[in-house]
Amino acid sequence: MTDEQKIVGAALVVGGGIAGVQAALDLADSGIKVYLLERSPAIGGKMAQLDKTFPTNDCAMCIISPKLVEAGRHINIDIIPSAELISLEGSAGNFKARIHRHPRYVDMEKCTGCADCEAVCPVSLPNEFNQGLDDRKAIYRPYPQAVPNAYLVTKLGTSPCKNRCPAETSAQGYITLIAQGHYGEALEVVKQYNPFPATVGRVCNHPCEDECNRGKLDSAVAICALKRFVADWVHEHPQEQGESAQEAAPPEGKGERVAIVGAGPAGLSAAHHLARMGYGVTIFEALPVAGGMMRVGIPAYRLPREVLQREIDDILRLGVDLKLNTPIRNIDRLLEAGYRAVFLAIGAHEPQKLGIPGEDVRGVHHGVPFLQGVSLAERVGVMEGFEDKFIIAFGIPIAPRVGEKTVVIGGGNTATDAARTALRLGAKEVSILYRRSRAEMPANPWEIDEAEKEGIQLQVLTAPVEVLETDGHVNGIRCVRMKLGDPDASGRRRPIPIEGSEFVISADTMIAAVAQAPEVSFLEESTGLEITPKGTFVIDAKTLATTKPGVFAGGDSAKGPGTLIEAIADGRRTALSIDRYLRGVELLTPREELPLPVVELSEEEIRERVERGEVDPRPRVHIPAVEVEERTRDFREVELPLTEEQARAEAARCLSCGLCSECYRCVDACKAEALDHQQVVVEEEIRVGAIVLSPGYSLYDPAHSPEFGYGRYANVLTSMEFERMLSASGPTEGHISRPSDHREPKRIAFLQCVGSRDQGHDYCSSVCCMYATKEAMLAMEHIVGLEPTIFQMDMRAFGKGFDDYFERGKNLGIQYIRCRISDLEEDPETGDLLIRYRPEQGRGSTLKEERFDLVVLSVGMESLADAHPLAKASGIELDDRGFCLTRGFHPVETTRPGVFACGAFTEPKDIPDSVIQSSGAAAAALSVIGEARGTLTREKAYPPEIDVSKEKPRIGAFICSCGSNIAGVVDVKAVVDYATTLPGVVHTENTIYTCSADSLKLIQERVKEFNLNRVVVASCTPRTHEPLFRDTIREAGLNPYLFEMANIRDQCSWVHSARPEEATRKAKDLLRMAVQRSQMLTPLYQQTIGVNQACLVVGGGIAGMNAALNLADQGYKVFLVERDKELGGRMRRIYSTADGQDPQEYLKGVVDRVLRNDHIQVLAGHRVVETGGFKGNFKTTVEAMDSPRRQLIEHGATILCTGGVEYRGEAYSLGSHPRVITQEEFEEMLAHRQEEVKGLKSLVMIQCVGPWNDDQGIPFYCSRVCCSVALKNAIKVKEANPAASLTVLCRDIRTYGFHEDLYTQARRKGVIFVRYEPENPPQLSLRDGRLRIGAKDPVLGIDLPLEPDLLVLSEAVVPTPGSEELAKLFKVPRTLEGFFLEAHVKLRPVDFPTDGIYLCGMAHYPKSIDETLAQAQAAVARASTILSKKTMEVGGVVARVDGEKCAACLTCVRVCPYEVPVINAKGEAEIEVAKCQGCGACAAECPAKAIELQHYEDAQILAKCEFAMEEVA
Amino acid sequence: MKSTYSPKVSQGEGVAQTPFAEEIREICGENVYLCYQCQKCASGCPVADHFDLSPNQLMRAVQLDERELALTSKTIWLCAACETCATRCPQDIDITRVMDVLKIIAQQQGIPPGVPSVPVFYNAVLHNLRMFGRLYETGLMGEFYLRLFLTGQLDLGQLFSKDLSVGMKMFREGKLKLLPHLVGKKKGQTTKKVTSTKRRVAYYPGCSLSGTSVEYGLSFKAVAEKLGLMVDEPEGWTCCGTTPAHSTDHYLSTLLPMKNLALVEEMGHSCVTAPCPSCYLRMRMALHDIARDTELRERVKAQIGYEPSEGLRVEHALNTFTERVGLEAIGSEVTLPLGELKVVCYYGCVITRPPKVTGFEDYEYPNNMDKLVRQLGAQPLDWSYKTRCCGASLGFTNLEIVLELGRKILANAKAVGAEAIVVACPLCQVNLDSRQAQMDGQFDLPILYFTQLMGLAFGLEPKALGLDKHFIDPIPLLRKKGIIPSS
Repeated sequence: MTDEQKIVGAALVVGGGIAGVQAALDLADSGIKVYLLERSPAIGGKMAQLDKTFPTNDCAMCIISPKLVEAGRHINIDIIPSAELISLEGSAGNFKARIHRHPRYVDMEKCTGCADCEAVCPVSLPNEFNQGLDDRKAIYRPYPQAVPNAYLVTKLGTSPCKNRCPAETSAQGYITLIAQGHYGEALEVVKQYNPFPATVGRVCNHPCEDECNRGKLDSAVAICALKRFVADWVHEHPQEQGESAQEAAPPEGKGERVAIVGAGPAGLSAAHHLARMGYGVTIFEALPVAGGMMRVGIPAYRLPREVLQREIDDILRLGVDLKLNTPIRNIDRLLEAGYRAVFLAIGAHEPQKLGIPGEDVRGVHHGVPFLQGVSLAERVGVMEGFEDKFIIAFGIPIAPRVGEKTVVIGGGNTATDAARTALRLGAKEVSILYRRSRAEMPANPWEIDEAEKEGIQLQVLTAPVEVLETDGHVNGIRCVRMKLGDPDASGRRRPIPIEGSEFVISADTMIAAVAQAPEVSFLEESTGLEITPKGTFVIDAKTLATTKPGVFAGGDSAKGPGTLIEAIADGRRTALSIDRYLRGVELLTPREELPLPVVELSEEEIRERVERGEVDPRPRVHIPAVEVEERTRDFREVELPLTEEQARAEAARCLSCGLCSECYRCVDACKAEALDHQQVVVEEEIRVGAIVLSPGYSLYDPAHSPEFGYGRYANVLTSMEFERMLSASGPTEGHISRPSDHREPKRIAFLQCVGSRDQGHDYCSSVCCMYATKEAMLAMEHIVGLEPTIFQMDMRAFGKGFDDYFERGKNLGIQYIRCRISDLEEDPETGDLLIRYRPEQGRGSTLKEERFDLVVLSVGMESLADAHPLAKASGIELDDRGFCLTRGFHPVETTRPGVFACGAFTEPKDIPDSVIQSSGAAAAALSVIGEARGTLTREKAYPPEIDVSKEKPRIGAFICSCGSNIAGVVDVKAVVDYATTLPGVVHTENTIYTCSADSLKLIQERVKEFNLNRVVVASCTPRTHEPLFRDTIREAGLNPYLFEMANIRDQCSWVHSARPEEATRKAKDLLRMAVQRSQMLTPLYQQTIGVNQACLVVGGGIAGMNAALNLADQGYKVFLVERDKELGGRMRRIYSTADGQDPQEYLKGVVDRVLRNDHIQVLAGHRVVETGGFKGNFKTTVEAMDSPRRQLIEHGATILCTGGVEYRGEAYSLGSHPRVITQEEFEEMLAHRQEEVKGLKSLVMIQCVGPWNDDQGIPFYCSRVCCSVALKNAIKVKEANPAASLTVLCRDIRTYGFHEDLYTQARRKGVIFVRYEPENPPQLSLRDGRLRIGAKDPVLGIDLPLEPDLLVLSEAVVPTPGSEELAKLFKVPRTLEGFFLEAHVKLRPVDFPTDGIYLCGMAHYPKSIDETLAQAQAAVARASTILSKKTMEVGGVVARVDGEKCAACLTCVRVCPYEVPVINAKGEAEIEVAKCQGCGACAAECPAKAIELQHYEDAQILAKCEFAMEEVA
Repeated sequence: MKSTYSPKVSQGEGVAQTPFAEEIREICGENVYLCYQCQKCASGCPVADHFDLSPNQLMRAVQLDERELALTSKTIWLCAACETCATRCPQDIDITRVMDVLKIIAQQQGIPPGVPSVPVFYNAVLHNLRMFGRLYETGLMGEFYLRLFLTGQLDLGQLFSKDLSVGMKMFREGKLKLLPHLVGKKKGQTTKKVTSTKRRVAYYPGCSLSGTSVEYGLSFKAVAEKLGLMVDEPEGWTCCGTTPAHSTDHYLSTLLPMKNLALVEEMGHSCVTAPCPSCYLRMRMALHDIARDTELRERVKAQIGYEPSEGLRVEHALNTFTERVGLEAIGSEVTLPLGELKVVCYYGCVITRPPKVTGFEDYEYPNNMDKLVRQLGAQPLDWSYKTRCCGASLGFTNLEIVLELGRKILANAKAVGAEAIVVACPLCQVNLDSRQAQMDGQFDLPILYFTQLMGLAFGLEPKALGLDKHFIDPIPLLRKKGIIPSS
């Protein structure tokens, strides 16, 4: 078998909601390696957002969190969050899945979830988990219990300012910090990129501002001025700087030294960064001053010398060695001297000449030397007496002199600087000549403006052709006029001289400031560096590496004359490259190779943000400057700083384009060094054998229904927002308040069917009726006297226990009004909402307008927003509604073999249905890859157990706040303090959620740190959490039974919520008892037993047969027991389905496959008479129905699927009148007696007929399928006989999910639906043998004279006779109605409390064929978790007999409900470890005290009892 | 589906009648059986309080074959045809159209109307437009009151205390004319061929723009000129038939707009703009129906020899300005920004509804008028009544309904802080302006056409915009806000 054909024992689960998590757990527990892919940052899905769940009102987080933690800790589940499926190749059994892992910018392995980063992050964003009701930081964890418990960063992309900045400065970062007044931190952000914030903040050409998205709205943020502000402010307020902003001490020296040639901006910048990285840096500078062009090229009126010096000094303080007046001619010498790397940043100071006659006469200067001269001279004072030419002699600066009439040639910044400098040196008239037009001038436009303001003349389209002289001194310039031609290589239009246009300008000084070039000729040739024709070094554009290893070059000398910030950028880039070079890693990071997209906000987006009020509307700040008259006579600084107020206002204008501002404060804050802002999308390939798609659904966005004013009316919320508001861990900590005024609402309206059952959604979302009831109920618990009203069409309480729940809601006082609301009106003064509705159905009822404080829109489920890309990636088809396409008899199969689907991705559904379907999908996947189980999995290894037998108890007590579940009532701090006083307790600690992954880790750390040998957790119920904590301490080396728990949530904060003091006292009591008992705990050990890999399936309907087939597919032996002689169960009487499939043909196929399958032994005509044993090792006896022939079956797991039957009562003369039949009988008539159907003129169907019609004491429950069945049959009638009148008398029509389609079809065909109230059911009378039904139409209030030819009763589904005995045999519980009762309605819907026994199909509750099939497979998945193992561990908490004491009195034999004890040959009682359920009945009854229940020994219990009384005593 | 509302009702005894719902489906294609009694129509209907059967009950009566109950109901006559129910019905039942069918059946079968004055009004209108081609409002009122008097329904109290004073004021302002307008092309005149361009369209003013809403007409033309929008009024256009036509004869209500569209196309235009939402909807509805009903199309073609070209477009004036001319172009003409005048934009019913006919996207909470007035420098406010019905033509027959609806609209506008209401519909304007004094409550809210605000912002003379013709005088407010000089 080639690699391509081999079955891969791994599965990919896409979507980590509850469905995906369940599927992952089932698969992993069955020996499959699972990859659990989740788009969002954490698993948990929408269920994690819920407060409570219906119909039990369990805390959603409390019941999902253990599952999440289990999945997170499962050794064979790889959770891959922030990832998506890109493509899927291959076929069932062997797929190649390509996935994209999106960058989180936090290394999940390293992150501890400590939240330090969150505290320093300056960026707030709407908190998605809380539906935007509050904010979170840009670095965040979706919710406290998130799995994985790791942070991540929200990054939209690179902000344009950062992207445009040559130095990649995170402008958005420091602007955000400035806006918040964190100036020191802001400055530190700048310094990460640029050691010259004050300098650059004055003279930068700030290309960032050209790109600023804010410019699309009004004008760019004044980024440059803000940089200057913050640099100056911090300088002027040294005392106000916190520790973080202080110049960090140089890190520990790395020992390696780097040489830098040139102390200009590039060189100094590199020195700054290298020194901060810990390198020893020496700078060699030829000039007598440091600063390069900043010092000698930029005039002081733009950049005061002391500002520059201050920043140079800062760099030198990092330990940088600066050698002035030290030109370098040979690089090799540096390397020989021990420098590990060299950076050449020698600048471009060589002036370019104009090349015109007379350029050498006196009075002609060149731009750069001119400015240099002025700058250097200024240092020692302008020296008078030297005219004409000047020399730069090192140490002897001589100032150039200008005449009265100075002409500057050139259009760059050097030209404007020279012109403005000349003015300041005393020239009376200064003009600038430029050969192109103003638009082409390379100088910063604002510099040109300022020059003009100062009176400098601009002569464009003019070029000098000759310098005229008198006595060797300039006296004029001959010029020529130019015109613009075609663009040249630089993209600017080429100037062309106009013939005969020459003219002369008089001048006594000319400054030629056209260009400068690098001068590298001084370097000795032996260095071996390649030089470009332009005279610059040959370098790699991204890394700045020269052709010589270890030698880098940047700035003007490498790239030709550029801007200051470009040189500074090169310095940083070189520092990064040198560091990476010296560390021997790649010179570029992944993100540098593959940059993030630049965030371009469209004008539309910006406008929308303005409309949402998210944008500070203030205009750009006006940057102050010294008046022109005052400034042109000296070199004082022209531009003035912003005030603090101005700066903060200006910073607030930033649109925060990138979301994360990349200020990198998180990087500094993270002690675990988990931050990695350089991450990029990573593509990976995963080999799996099967796929389960469980990506969930999207909530309807009510912005698409503006008539409800969502988004405009503050007090209109969605149900999910309200759910978060109800949640103790939500944005309001469980306090319900109106967003408009934070007042507690007294009247809340719930509007149903928003985004369901409408023109755009032809289906029912299935969950909204129930969750609205739940939310109303919970709100009533929160607010005393609350009046909730639910506006709905039908009450769709179709699930197990739902009708009871609904009744409870009614009894609590929830008002249910059958009216869909058309629109909402807001009272502008109060924010109240006005709802108009008809309170009564009948005529004469007028509209009522009612005022509500809050309106909750019960939004429906829509297909997943990105269902289409996922469908494309996975190669499956979607239905017309965008949900995953599955077919009726194959509810978890997609259109691609090997790819399965479950949860709300296939159809709107609630949690139990999703969980069932997900287990079903897992089983379906197992049927493909089951044979490869165990091939890719790992075993969990625990550390060797610490022997604590000789130690005195050292107890660690952990007190849980459970968010505010406990802490909201119980004074947790007091309990913690109290714990420290208890004997044996050596460590106590409070945790917010003790069950969260970080807390569990903490417990393990504490065990080691304090040598704990007992752990006590005071939190919630051991029922859900004890296994988790036991496993936790086992991982820390303790025997799991050295754990004890106190339930201070259920038993204190919940039940005594109104009495916090007493609750706290009780919590202390419970804790004291737990601590005392923990002292007495001893280690227990489990033993390994073999597992019988066969399964018993009881019930041969489609559930049982499909379960059997799936088990057989996985290679397990199956015994299929059926009381009937024939297989098929109830399906034998179903002849059609709504989607037009043929159930009989399907059934025949299934029966055939079952009968032909070697792995399945069919025992039709048999019943179970005896059963015993335990998970992994059951023994069951079956007996033929018609003979005493018996067979003993040994099996490892059991599935009960005995089905349900249609109730046949006496109501409505059923059985006594030939024209009254049941739906099942009618189905048969439709299938076989078409002629009879065609003859029917009128029919009536009555829904909801059942045992309650015969006995009023029996409570009503919804049989879930009858509405759909009746409608399916009604449609068949109308199709066969369109003229027949058909009236359906019903309470509600409960066509949930896509069944709604049947309701629509039936109405479209003219079926009339008349509602009746349960207390006033339709009456049947007979007149002349004809049926006459008395019913009143509630809408018009008129009596309907119904005299049908046929009355069809939709009778309830009741459990199959015999299920009661079966329940007794297997010792499994049943509901009041007689259906089997699962272990937990929400999350264990196919499990029984007894391990190893599972249930499915109608024996669980009435359900449709597809639901039955899914559940059958779900039961298989659960059974597989046992059957897949060859051995398993048993024992632990079991009863142990002390043979010495046993009197063989048989008491234990009699009391044991599981019939475990036997009297052995020695005449002593013996209890099978694997069988014992640990109930303790025998231990309690044993008169000789010969039996002890381990872990619940008398001494342990008594210790608890004694100490319960301690305080009282 | 049959093409017209001329049902053949089986009269004979003993003959099995087609169920009523089937009959209606035959006539207009609407399947009333689909109604599942969710009551959304009832809870959203602005007039439902005055109905004897709520809309859903009416649907129920049809479903249950309760013909008499349905056909004698007041509901069908009091329906203001605001299309709210039809727009929001989760089952997409065109309830408004079903109401029309019921009215037509009731009239054809001679069933005494639940609200007798309404069909009297309809007949008066139809008679009026048969005589004059366009509504001759003075004549109409005369005929209407006479007919009421003859049928013993005239409410003299209302006539003298309310209607007469309104009428007199309108008469003084030139809104009611003494003589009818003469329709018809002058003989021998040939229509000059023009083509629609970005800035040139045909213009269908409708009856009211030269009558009760003369200021709308004035201001429309003035701002169009200012913006370089050329509008060509077809010679000889006639009334669209409005509510009385579609409530009486579906064919007639299709034929009348078709005649006018024929004139538009005859001119060479492929686009017509209509400032009056009612005219606009009737034209769009006729096109919508004819595109879906070949029989109707053929019948119209046989009678007037015209069938609309595929590309023919009917625009409401609001869209003509905001989309064709564009907000930017409008903004560049603003010379006197409106000083943050606080207004609410009132779109009324049928500019946006029903969306399948109007093609309007944000029909529940439209914004284009708001954007327009913001461009003019005014401040549009959020409110709850943007598209709530004002009662429309019920003002003539059931004044109390119009007063009640108007009161709510004005109260909400006032509560959100509006200083004026901006409208784009003559009927809305008349109902809220001329009747405002009769609604208790000191609202004193000027009701301005959006075109008047445009004109003001463009610096046009108030008089040229008809600002002197309002019942609630807007001049003091405009002076106070500095929009027009105080002198």
